[in-house]
This record gives sequence, C-alpha cells and structure tokens, in this order.
Amino acid sequence: MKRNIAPWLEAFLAVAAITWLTATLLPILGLASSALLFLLPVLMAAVRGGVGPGLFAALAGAAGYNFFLLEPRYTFRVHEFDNLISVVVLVAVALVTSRLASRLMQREAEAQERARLSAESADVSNLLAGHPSQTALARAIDLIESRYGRLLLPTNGAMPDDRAAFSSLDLAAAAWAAHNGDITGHASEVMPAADWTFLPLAPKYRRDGGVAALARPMDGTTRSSGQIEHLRQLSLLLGQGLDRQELETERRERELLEQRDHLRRTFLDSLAHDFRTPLTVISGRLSELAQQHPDARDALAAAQRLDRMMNDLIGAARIEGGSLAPHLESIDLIDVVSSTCDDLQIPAQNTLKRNVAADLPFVIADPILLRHVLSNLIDNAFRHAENTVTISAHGAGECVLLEVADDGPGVPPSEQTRIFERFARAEGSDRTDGSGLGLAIVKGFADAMAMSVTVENMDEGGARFVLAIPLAAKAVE
Amino acid sequence: MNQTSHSQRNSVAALTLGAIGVVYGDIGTSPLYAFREALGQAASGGIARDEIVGVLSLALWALIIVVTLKYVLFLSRMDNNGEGGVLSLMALAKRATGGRWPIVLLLGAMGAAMFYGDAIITPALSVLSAVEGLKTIPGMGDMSQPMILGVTVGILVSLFAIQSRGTASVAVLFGPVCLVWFLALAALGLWHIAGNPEILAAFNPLNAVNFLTSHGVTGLFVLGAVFLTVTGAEALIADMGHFGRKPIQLGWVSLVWPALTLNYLGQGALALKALAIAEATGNPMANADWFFLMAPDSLRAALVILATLATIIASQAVITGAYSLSYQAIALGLLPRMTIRQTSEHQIGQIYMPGVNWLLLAGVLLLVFGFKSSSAMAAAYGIAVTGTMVVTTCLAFIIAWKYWNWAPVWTALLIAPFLALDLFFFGANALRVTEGGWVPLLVAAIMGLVIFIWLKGHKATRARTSEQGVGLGEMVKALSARPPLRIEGTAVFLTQDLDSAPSAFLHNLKHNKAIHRTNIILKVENQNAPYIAPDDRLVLERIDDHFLKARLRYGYMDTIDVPSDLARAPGLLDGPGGISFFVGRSAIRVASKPIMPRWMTFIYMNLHRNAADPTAYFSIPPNQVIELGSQIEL
Repeated sequence: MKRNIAPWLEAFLAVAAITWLTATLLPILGLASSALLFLLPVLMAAVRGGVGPGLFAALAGAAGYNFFLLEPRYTFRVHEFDNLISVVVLVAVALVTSRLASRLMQREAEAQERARLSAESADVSNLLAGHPSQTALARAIDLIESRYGRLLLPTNGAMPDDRAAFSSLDLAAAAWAAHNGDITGHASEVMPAADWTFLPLAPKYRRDGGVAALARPMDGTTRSSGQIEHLRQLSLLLGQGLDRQELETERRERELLEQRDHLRRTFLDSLAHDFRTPLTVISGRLSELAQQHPDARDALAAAQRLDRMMNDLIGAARIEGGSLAPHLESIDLIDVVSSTCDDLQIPAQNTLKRNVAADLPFVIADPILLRHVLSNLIDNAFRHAENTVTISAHGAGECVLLEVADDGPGVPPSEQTRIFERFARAEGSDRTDGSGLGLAIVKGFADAMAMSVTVENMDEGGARFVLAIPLAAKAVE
Repeated sequence: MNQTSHSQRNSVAALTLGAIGVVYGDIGTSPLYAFREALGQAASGGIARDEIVGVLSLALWALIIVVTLKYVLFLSRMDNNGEGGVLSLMALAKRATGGRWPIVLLLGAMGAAMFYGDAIITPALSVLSAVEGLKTIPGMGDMSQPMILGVTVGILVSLFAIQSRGTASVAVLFGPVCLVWFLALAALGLWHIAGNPEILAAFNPLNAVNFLTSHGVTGLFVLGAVFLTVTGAEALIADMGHFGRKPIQLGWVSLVWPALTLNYLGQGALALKALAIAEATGNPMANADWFFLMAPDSLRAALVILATLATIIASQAVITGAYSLSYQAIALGLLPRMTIRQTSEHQIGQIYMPGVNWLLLAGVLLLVFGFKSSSAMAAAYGIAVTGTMVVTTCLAFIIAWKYWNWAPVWTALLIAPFLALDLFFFGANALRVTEGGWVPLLVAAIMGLVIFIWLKGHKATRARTSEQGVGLGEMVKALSARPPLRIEGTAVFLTQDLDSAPSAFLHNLKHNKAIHRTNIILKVENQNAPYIAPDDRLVLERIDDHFLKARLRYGYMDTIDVPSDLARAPGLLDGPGGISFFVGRSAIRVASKPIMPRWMTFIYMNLHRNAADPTAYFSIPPNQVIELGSQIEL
C-alpha cells in the first residue's frame, strides 16, 4: 500500500509558509485576512492531492492559526468562545472548499474518462468498418483484448464454442445471457461468482443474439459497473460487426452459387448441341435401316427416346438461358394434336384416346413449342397410365382447354406444385424412365407462350394436366 | 521461507492495527467516563484516599479478570469455525446439543436482544462524554448544555447518515487514529503516575476487597459503575471472524490493556493530587472530569478532538456490529428479512441495512435527549452489557460441556466464578434499573418479543402449510402418469418443505396448464456453521426425469446467491429455454380459531408483510421471478 506522499508534503510546506508569513506580518494583515490566507494551502492541496491532503492542510492550517496567531499566541489554548468558533469556521470552510475542489477534479476526471471511453468506442467502430469484415472483426477483438483481457465470440450459434474454458457456472451464466439478453457472470448482478462476464451481442429486443465472453481481470479485482456498461456498448458494436460478417458471407455464398449455376447452364447448352448432330445422323440411318430390317426397330425407338430427351435438354437450356423467343401464330389445335400423335410410339399395352372436336376455334401458339409441350405431356401420361391416356380439348371462354388425362395413380397433393420443377419425379416412380425435365419444359414453354398449365387428380382416379391456350385474335372477334 | 515468515508477520501486524481500530474502540473510550462515574458513586460523603485507591483497584482487577482472563484467554478459544459473538456461540451450542435444547435458542435471542440495547447506548454515551470534554477547555467552561447536545446530535446524525455510502474508504484511518488514541492514553497516564507513584498500590486486590466490605450497598453501586471499564469486551469475541484470534489477543496484551491500566492509574493519581490540594485548602474534594483534566490546558482542545474521533470510531464499530448481528439473526431465522445493501463493489461483506440504521439512530437520539448527560446515561449502560455477558457465559458452559466434552463438574467449577462475577455485576447494575437501566431492558424486551413472535409465527405458518400441502412424491407420480404440456426451460420453485409440492407449483399448473421440462424444488437452508464452501452447498436428489429436489445450505455469514450456487452443478442451468424462479407469497389472515393469541398474529402479520423481498435476499434478479400468491390462516 504505497501512497504518494508528495501532495501531503506540499500541503505541509504551504501551510508552514502561510503560517510564517502571517505570523510575521500579523500587525499589517490583521487576524481576519490572515485567517483567509489559510484557505490558500487548503485549496492548493485539495486541487493537487484530493480530499486527504486537503483535509490535512485544513487541520494543519487550523492548528497553525490557533497556535501562532490566535491569542494567547504560542499555545493551543482557546480563551474566548468566539475564537473557537473561528477555528471551527476555518475547518468547515476548508472542508467545503476541499470537497468542492476535489469534486471538480473528480468531474474533470470523469469527463476525461468518458471522452476516453467514447474514443475507444469510436476506435472499435472504425476498426469494424474496415474491409474485409473478418479481419476487421479480428482487429477489433484484438484491441478490446489488449485493454480488457481475454474475449471469446461465438463463431456459430449463440454461445462461444470453447466450452472447455467454462465451468458449469459459466455455462449457466452464458445460457442466461443468451436467453434473457442480460449481462451475467462476473461483476454483474446475475451469478457474480462466475469467472467470465457474458455480454449480449444484440439489443435486448432481439431474441437471436449471441453472447460474448470476457474473462475476469487477471489480478483478481472486480470490474466496475461503469466499465461493464462500456463493455456492453463495445459488445453491441461487435455484434453489429458479426452481423456484417454474416451478411458478407451470405452474399459471397450466393455469388458462388450463381457462378456455379451459370457454369452448369453453359455446360448443358453445349452438351445438348454437341450430342444433337451425331444423334440426328444415327436416328436417320436407323429409320432407313428399320424399314428393311424389323430387328433394328428397338434401336430406332431407343434413338428416338434419346432424341426426345435431347430435345428436352435443349429446351431446358433454352428456358434457362433466356433465349426462348416463341414465334406465335394462329393455329388449328387439331393439326398439332394429330401431327404429335402420329409421331408417337404408343407403348404396346396402352391405348391413346383422342377426343378433340374438329370445329375448335383457332388458338395462338408457337406450333413447334406446343408440339413439344403436348408430346411431353402425353409421354408423361403414358409413363404413369395403367391402360388409357385420353386427350381432349374444349373451348372455355377466352381460351381452349387441352387436357391430357391418364388412369394412373394420380399425383399426391404435396407433389402438385413441385411436379413442374426440374428433376422432380413422383415418389415411387423410379420404375419409369424419364429425364425429369419433361414437365419442367412443359411449364417453361407454356409460360413463354402465355399459357397456364395445371395438374389435378380426377375423381375416378388418375391425373389430368390442363393446358389453357389463348384464342387467336380473329377467333375472339 | 524467510520471506513468507516476514509477510506473515506483516499481515499479523496489519490485522492487529485493523483490530485496534475496530475491536477496542468501545472499551478504549471507557476511560472518558468510567472512573469518574465510579468515583462519583463512591463520593456521597466526600472522597477519601482509600476510596480512590479502592475504586481504582476494582477497575484494574475488573480488566484483569473479566477481560483478560475470561474473554481474551478463555472465551476467545470458543469459536464457531473462527467466528465469535453471541449468535455464533448460540449456533455452536445448537450444533453441539443437536438443536434440541430450547434454552440455547432462548439465550441466543436474549443475547441478541440485549446487544441492540447496547448498540444504542454506546454511540450516545461515548460521543456525548467526548463532547462534554469541551467544557474542560479553558475559556469554554460556560458552554451550555443545549450546545453540547447540539454538537453531539450533529455528530451522531452525520455518522448515521453516511452509513449508506459505505465506510470502507475511511476505515483505513481507524487503526492509526486509535493507535494514537491509546498511545495518548498511556502517555497521559504515565505522566501523572510519575507525579504520584503511590497510586500503584491499587494493584493490590486487598484494596478492592476492603473497599467492598467496608462500603455495603454503596459498594455495589460503585461496582455497577466500575463495570463501565469493561463494556465493549464482548466485541473482542464478536469480531474474531474478521481479524482472527491472534491479532485480537496481541492487540489487547501489547497495547490496549497496558494503555488502559496506565490511564486509569493516571486518573487515580490526578484524583489523589486533587485530594491533597483539597485537604490543604480545607475544602471537600469534588468529583470532576478526570480524564480531560489529565491533559495540560494547552493540549486539551487537541485531546477533545482526539477523544471525539475515538468515540466516533467506537460508535462506527458498534453500528457495523449491529448490521452484522442483524444479518446473522436473519440467517438464523430469529428476525424477519430486512433490506441489505452492499456498499462496496469491491469488498464483499460491507453491508448497510437501512432499517437497522434508522431505528438505531432514533434510539440514540431518544437517549441523548432523554438523559442529557453522560453521567445520567452511564446508569443505563451497564445492565445491557452485563446481561449479554451472563448469556455468553451460560452459552460457554454449554459449549464446553457438550462440544468440548468436558466433564460437567469441572466445567461448572471453571465457569462458576465467571458466572458469579457476571451475576454480581448484573445485580450491581440491576440496582440502577430505576435510574435509567430500564431503557436498554425495554429495548431488549421489545427486540426479544419481536424475535419470539417471529419464531413462533414462522413455526405456525410452516405447520399450516404442510397440513394443506400435497405430497411431492405422489404429485410427481400422478404427473408422469398423465403428463401435461411440457415447455422448454427450467423452473425453480422456492419452498420451505421439500416433501410437499410447493403451492407456487400447484398454482402454476392450475392456471398455466403446463410444466417446464426441468423442475427444481429448492429449499434454502441455513446451517449452524458460519461458512460453507461453495462446492458443498448444493445437494441434489433426482425424483424423475423432470423433477429434482435441491437443497442449498448456507452458513449464517455466507452471502446468499441462489442462481450462482445452483449453476455450479454441471448441466443444471445451462440448458436452452431459460430459467424462471417461482416464489409463493403468502398473505397471513387471522383464522377463526387462531393458533397464536390474536395480538401476536397481528404483529406477525405486520412483520411478515414488511419483511424484505425474499428474492432480493436470495440474489435472484427481479425480472426472472414469478410470484404466485396464496393465503395462510393462522
């Protein structure tokens, strides 16, 4: 317990000087002014050394005044009651002055401390504003650690991960802080016996905030409540830094995902084109061959299936690539249906019923795309049908509804929205083959042609895909 | 090696200095009035030489027998894990007798009650007697009584007013100031003994015996006043926990005892000198403020200031002692919970109790205005202190017999002289009940009544609650058979009875129709030991997957922090979902067939309603507490 004795010594010297001065000049100064002069060392001592030296100067001054100046001089004896009062007044004035002076000093010290703290907050903010956020955060943590001791931040979840560093008391305090948004642990009101202080990283109203853990000072002292409050502000700043870091990570991940997607699309595109040419040659030669040799028909069918899948792939690539520009024209639906059905290979045990009236109004569509859509729908229907697939069409107000129905198991309600996504395949449909792109292309092409496509389960069983095709302008009139 | 012994010696020295500032303040300010009062009692028909020597001899031997032999050598060995004081002795005696002897509780309650009587007189008397010293300053002899009372009240009010801000910052100065005080006592004494060495004859106990045998009833009155020399001896054992036995013994033997002895001898020498002058002039000798007259005129003002400082320090020690005793009394269940504030962020155990503080101040002011002079007040002083001493001696007998397992006969033989002496002093003081001794007795009676009603009411409440309660085991079984909705999180239910389901739990289930994933039924118990190590406090007993019984055991000096101590158990509180504390708050109503007399129930109702919030006492943050009310009819 070492104390700086300089202010005490200075106070004593100042009192001695004033005593000597007043004692020698008493006849000139008079008692009243002399008494006032004793306030000078008190003020000086209080300003320079605080309450202790101030009080010391006051008492020493009172003693010196009593001994050297007050009648009878050179004794501590007090003869008249008034004289005692003047000693008391001197002490009282000295006490008040020293209190005031030291309070001013205290205020100044507090103001300086506040300035220091806000400067520190600003430093941390500046560090956190740096780029990239990860190093900025690390720098800010380094700054705080260098001034306040070890600091742990959560990297994943609400609590710092280094669980080995914590006792069960610390863990409970951390859980409390994470759940309630209170400061807990060392130097707080909740579980002050813990070795760490847990500071919420987010304001209290946010429920998802994590907590930072700050080790108690190495020298075993308790942090002051002011310091804890300041550290809370800093931890809120750190929380913002963490949020920023998280956002940045998210953005980077999204960019990465987009890049990967782009790469995949380009790949698909070129793949589709490069397969196309040899496949055309193969299926051409095979169809020639099949006319002469019935044995080659399976090969032709396989090639045709491959061709359709290729078509789908290219279609998908076109939809994805945004290069789909439909050539819309007035067409007769029955032509499209017939030409599509003619090209179809109907599986052996299945039948295709056509129920399309010849007097349907003209519709507006891209004939090639519509054919693709229709063939995909029929293809899909055959894949799920037990026996029969029915194509029907009828007018309904401003559009013609083209329906493709099967007598299969139908589409589970949960799948009905997902079914038009790419690579979505109905559950239990593994036995059927297909690219998984067919319906996605149906949806993509239908959207491009301003048609809507929906799926529903029929009462008598089986699924029904409904394509609403807008009427041609002439027909509307 | 060398260094450790050096630092050990250093710390003993530091502790001794600290003890001098706290422990001996009360006994060290007795010279201000003790000799004067004793001589005043003897001086009904003028003072003779034999009377001066006789009174002095009594005082010296009182210090030797009561303080040195009984307290410093004997009672200081009787500690409850290092803690002393009347309640620590009570707790130790309870432990030794298995808590079955009602007399132990009665003695403890009596001792505590009388301590409060002591605690209001000590500040009033010592500060007043120091301020009265102003009159002995040359030129101030005409100071009027209202002025003295004004200064005294000013000092006392400011002393009590600053308590809330904590005294830790100025406490460092207590030791050095008291050291100066005792050195001044010794120096003044030596100076006067040198002028009149024949006073040393007072060491001969025959003088005391002769005085008593020749003075009859007056002798008893004198004895009551002589007893003032040993007031404050109780602090020697009460503060043992803070400083340890060695520093207290060392401080007494090496400094305080010699200083007091020299000073009393000096006062006697001064009185002899005054007697010689009076005889020479032929006037009868008058009693006077011997203590202040010992100082030469020129230093008298300084001595008055020093004495005032010393009495302020002594009063501070008594006030702190009153907080500490109240804290222990609450922990041991003798008093309702009161608001307790920590005054220091850095030091645990620096407490302030507003209720105790303001009640003490009120008592002190009443005394100052009621008695108006230290002489009048001195008549009231002895009885509370001797009462406490009688209690202490009785407890010491029980402890030596039951805890140290001494043979009852030998114990009785050892204790009997002390007890006889205490009773003798008690009787001597009882003679002055009418002169003012009734005041501390009244205070003690009020406190005793409060303690009695609180104990009785508490017992009745517990009996009623367990009558109405549902068995916890059955409850848990029923709940596991038909589980209600479970919500994430931990609920802690505070209860007094671990075997029945807490009413807060039943209410919560009834109204919220859900229970938490983990339910801890918690009982906080106070043990008869002063401290319990944090790791030994919690005893857990699992009932099933969702219910736990927990017992938190605290010593009566421990700082209670329920969340921290629960959290020390691994995995208990660190789960998800947060923690809620459920507290049942019971309102007392008078039953149609009351258990206690109606007036007692009313007092108990008031005590119960005004008792401080239990959650604050248990350090549970108020924003985590759910209070559920219930009614109890007594």
